[in-house]
Amino acid sequence: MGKIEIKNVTYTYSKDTPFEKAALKDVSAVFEDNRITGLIGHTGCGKSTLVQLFNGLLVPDCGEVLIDGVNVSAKGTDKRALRFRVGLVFQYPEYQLFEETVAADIAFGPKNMGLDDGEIKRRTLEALKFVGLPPTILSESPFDLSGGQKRRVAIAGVLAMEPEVLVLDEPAAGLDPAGRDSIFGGIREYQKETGRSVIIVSHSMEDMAEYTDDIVVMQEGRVKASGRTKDIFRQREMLEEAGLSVPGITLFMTELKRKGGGIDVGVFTVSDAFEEIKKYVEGVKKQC
Amino acid sequence: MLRDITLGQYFPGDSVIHRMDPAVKILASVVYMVAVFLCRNIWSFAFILAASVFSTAVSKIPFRAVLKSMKPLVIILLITTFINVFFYEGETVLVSWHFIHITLEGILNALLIAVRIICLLIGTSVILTYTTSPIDITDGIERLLKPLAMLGVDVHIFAMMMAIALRFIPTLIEETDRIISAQKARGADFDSGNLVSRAKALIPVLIPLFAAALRHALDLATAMECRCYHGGEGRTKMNERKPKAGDFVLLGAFVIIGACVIIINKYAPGFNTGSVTGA
Amino acid sequence: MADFITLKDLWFSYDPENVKDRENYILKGISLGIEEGSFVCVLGHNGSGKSTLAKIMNLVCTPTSGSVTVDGRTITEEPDEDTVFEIRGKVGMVFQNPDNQLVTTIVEDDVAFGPENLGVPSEEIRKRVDAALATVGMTEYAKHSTSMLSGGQKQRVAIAGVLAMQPRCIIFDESTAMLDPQGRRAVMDTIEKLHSEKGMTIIHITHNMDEAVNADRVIVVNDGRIFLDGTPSEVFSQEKKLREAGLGVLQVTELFGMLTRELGMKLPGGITDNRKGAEILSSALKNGKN
Repeated sequence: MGKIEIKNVTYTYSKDTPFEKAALKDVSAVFEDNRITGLIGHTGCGKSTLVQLFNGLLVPDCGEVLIDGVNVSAKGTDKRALRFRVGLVFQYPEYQLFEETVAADIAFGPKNMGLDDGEIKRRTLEALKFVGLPPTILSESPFDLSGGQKRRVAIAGVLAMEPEVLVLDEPAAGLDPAGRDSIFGGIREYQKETGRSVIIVSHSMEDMAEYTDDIVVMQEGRVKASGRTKDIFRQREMLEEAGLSVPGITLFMTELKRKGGGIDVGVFTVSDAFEEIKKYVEGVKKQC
Repeated sequence: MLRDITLGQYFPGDSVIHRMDPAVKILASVVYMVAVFLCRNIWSFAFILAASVFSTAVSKIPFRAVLKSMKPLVIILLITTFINVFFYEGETVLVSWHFIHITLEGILNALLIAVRIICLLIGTSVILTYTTSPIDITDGIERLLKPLAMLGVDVHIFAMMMAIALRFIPTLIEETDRIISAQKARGADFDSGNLVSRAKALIPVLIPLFAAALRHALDLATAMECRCYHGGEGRTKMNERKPKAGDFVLLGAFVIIGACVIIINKYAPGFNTGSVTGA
Repeated sequence: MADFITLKDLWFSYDPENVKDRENYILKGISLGIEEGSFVCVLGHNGSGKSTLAKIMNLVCTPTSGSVTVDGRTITEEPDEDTVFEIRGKVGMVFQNPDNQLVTTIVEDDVAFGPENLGVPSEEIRKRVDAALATVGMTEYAKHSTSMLSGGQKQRVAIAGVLAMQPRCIIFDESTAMLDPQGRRAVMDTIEKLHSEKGMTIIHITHNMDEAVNADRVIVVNDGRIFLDGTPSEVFSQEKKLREAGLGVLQVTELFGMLTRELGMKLPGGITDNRKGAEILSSALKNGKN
């Protein structure tokens, strides 16, 4: 549940004005269900536009957006219902909080869905658990919280809608390393436990390597590559063409290989690098 | 989308009109507007229309852009034309049906009023808003209002407030766009229901927007203080504008246009619209 | 060289009237000297007090107790306006949000804003603006509208605006936090250039570890106190303490830590450079072979 297919989609901002700007040019891509897919690309490559097509905030000029095989970009689709199926967390979502209490703010989405109080309560508590906040926070004003807590409350507000697909645009932007780890850790846990799909837009290759299963690479309004995360990060030249890089540890391992030693450079996380070196060291010991 | 609205219609360029001192330009546009209102007959209208087209050519603003800016005026033009054609009390009756009398004078009058509105728009946009950056306009206003300082009005603060407002319009529009999208993504419904429920639906947008505006204002105030801002006292300017001889020559040209209009009104024969108040 | 900024037993609270227990202050007894011409990176998690520390140094906040000395002038309580402007003319500050620190709509007008406030003569402002824009590489955007720039470009304009005031020290208060990797790189390059070519004192506040590797000195602030203080390699070798402070280390440093702990390899701590790290590790592996 929650597979998104994009077929030959084109989208242009300010169409028929002097400010016309093509954001997506004949884009086709598949975001598989039950996994975390990373969407990466240089600023202005169209990734933020693309995610707004998923829940009908933007409607493609031509082409189709299919969710579980059903075209949702067609005329007459209930756009509001679609928004509950694809939950979208914008960049810096803490700036959208407005209610008097955290509880009321998280309940905004579920209320719009027409759920009853009991169900809203259940979903609120569950969402809080995933973002790592205690239930005692519910009665507080969102405006009194720290930046990191506000961010979590805002994410919980979308989680509580229990969307089939959760889309997050730079969920950890501006957070310190501990905050980043805990946000991404929470997202991973959420995905594993619910089996729903998650799509993350991010500039951090290290986080993408650590937390995603698949990756879609965009460049200048087009999809440049897509596939399993480990296959994408093997293509260093392609990524650099797209104005991106590989994780720091991959750069290190490449450097290490250049110095000699039969170590695989297809390594994108620190723990994999450790395993790789451990294998090498143990292999050497066995030889002796 | 909100951000589609063209704001600050400034077209950067390097024409004679672009280079003119903004304070003098404001005066020139006032002279021009007076000239447009002074027009009394076909010949003076023809003259002012020609002058407007000529100014546009000099400013190097594309005619297409000027025409496009008239789009919102179409309705006003249609209404005034309609009223004048059908209800103007003229002598040469062309069509008469019940209470409706279409007269030659009515048609001519409608036409002239349309020309007047169009000339006003071309003139002010080409002379002022299209060729002067918003910051230069505020600078011009500040200098024109300087005499008010003697009455104890802090003209500098007023101009600074205008400049900052202009600076933050694009930022706040972008912010509004983003908040609306974010709340829509949570199922907010802005398009259905009665007036009360629609007004209520705006709360999730207005509160974050208000918070954002406050945040911007506080941050900006700190940033300005860190750059030693302390009001207009002892402040210098990078481009200390002083009107040059050329500016007055251009202003003189507009005064001459006005004078021509008066002369044409007086001596050229033809249809006179004196009795009508239109635009 | 002598210290350009000195903090002595500095305590700070936004509301000292109501916060009785000094343990709840934001800054708790910080003593610190910033050497003239040095590039100091201040690290700390969100809410650690690192930004408040920056605000003390150019008097956006004044010490609740203790003192701050800038270029020989000591401030202990609310200073008069002249002193404030004198110090802000020496210590410039670039903030986090690129949208909230540009004052005008045109790039060069914004850069001129600071010197205009200082009452610098017009021709001199023109020269300073051109030089500042050239330093940050934004000359071609001089006449552009600020609203059309990218985040990184806006930050560079903000830096030019501070440079035009000709300060001797610039504080970057999380100025890279809201930028994409390209914008961040451009701003970091500019910062490093100001330090190495112009000899300016730089205080860079961040929680991105990779931005600290080229600093002369790294200070970690945690819970209002100085937690670690040393060269980048000294600080980065303390992985456990950094994590305790809500921070992390670079991936290569993390790998070296794991290899040391779990495989008992003898590797130096605090390695931040990939090339140097690869050299050390490959020779360690080769030695293991023999």
